Amino acid sequence: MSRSLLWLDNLRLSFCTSEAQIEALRGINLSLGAGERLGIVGESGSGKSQLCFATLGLLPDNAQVSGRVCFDGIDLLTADAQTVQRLRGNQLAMIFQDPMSALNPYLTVGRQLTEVLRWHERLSRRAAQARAVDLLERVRLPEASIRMRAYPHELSGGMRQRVMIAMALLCEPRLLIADEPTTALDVTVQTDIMALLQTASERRALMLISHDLHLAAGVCQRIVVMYAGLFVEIGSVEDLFTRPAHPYTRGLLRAVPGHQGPAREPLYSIPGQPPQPDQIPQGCAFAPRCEQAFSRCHHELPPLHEIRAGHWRACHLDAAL
Amino acid sequence: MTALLQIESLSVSYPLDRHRHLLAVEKVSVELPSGTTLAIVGESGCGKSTLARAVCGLTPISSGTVRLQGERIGSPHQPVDTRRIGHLVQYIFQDPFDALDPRLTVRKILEEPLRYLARQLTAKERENRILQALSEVALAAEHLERFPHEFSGGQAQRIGIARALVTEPRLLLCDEPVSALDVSIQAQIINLLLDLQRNRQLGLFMISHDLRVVRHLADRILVLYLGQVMEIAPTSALFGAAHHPYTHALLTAIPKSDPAAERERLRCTQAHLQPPPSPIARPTGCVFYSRCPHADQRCRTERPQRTRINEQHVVYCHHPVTNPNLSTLKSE
Repeated sequence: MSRSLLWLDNLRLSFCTSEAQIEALRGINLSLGAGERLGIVGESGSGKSQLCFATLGLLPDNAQVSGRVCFDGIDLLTADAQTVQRLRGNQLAMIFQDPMSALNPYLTVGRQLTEVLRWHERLSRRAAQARAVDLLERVRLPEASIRMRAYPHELSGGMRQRVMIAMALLCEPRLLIADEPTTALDVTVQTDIMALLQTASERRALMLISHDLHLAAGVCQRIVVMYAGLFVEIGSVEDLFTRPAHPYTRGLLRAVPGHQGPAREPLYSIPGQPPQPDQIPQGCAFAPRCEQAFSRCHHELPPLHEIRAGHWRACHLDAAL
Repeated sequence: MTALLQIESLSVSYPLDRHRHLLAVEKVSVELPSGTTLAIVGESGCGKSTLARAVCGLTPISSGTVRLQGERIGSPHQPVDTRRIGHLVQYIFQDPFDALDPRLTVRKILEEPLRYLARQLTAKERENRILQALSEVALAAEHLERFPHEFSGGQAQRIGIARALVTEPRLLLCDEPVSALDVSIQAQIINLLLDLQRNRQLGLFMISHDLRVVRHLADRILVLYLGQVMEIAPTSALFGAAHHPYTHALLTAIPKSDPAAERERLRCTQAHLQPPPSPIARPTGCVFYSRCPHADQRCRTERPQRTRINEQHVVYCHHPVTNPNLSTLKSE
């Protein structure tokens, strides 16, 4: 097995607000190999986006982080700001959910793209220009050299997301983090962007955040399911789809409409709703919604354990179930 | 029997400036029988929401008519009178938090439509309606004195649905009712809508971009592109034997349930999608011409007329196709 590129060790993240202490990540352990494509799936508030932000060190002032975030052997939490800044954008790059709010509306696409290169790689204006056009062509933006002079609002949503992807790829990062890259886009464009992401993530590691298991499955090799700030199941795409081991994963797979079951019949739905981040129940956070929960689930937090090679879950239920 | 809702040749245009208009919806005709669901699908900007807004009087009609239970309720000369028909036609919005006034308690939120649209009710009757609607969406009386921010997204959407129910409508216009919700909550709301429809014989006019949701909920589907109807078909026919190339393109955009098939689907997506042309400068022939893999000279100049595949199924295309293998959209 290849040495891990990103290694998270007992990563905890909480936010202090005037009213409460909010725990966003409650002890995350993860090892991501070079070139590996990992999907992180969960509902809103499960902490999946915070995991990206914590990895990149993009956290607000009231955040408290503990644990370790090691990228290529360097602990990003203890490293000095300069080192982190050099890595970020260069070796680690992020694609945000909404390209309209992530791009600067005052600057042309070309200016935003070349800025990265001039800053990180000290390229000349002309060399940066050439490289940017080349990348826009690689992400199949039509009329790339003309679009360099366009402002973000002059592009369609799909084109803007292409620009975002191009920007993330500029310095050939070794790890690409994509946070719901298609949520703001039309379904027809979604397929296109996912296909592009599939190609873009060849030869580099990818962390894809999504709330859609099926969408993540098309691009990733391994999938992590998050619930209330913790991983509840990790496994290969095949494991998760053919042998989902956590009741929450099974529920998620069953709740998607239109795939199975007769139309207009009641859909399977997970009862209740995810816990508020300041009111995470004791024991297994999913227990109040779990149909198979028993008394132990309500008191004792189930540890993540391996149930077969590479397939982990955090659940007290008999593994044979 | 007359349909609950009849839309005849409805057009809506928005003035851009003194000379130009944006034709958001053009000559749409469709019917919605009572107790059934009609879904409108299409990309953003295709006119889905405008169509729904025109039906309930939130947007003026430029030409055509809207009939409710056989009675004409809206035309260019007779704008939809929300005071008169508001209690029969209610709207459910995409983002429940945007749609609920944060300063009002749930009780106030549910009371307001009754004060305007059902003035004949006594205070007691109002209270009964509110409690009835609340229990139908599985919320309790104890929630009445709370404010919207105290609820989760799924619960807030239930409040939005309860508000639509208090006036005892016949038709619900649902604008992406579940797309702001998480998968596990989505299923709960879908089930709720199915239940309500069954119990109250509601007609649902549903807007969605998620074909998986539509497939589960709808009886009939209308595919809209740049304000024009491309195809109208019963759900099973649309998923089984769609005829319009644009419908095929939408169908291939649905993620597959099997990971291997999904990987293959992404691998086959080579073509880069052109964005739809601007609705201001629309093509003269078929509006889908610029993205259609089957387009020819005739499509460029001549607008396709309605072709009936059968009693229930119509398509607007010069070259209707049933073979989905030919369905990828045109590349650059």
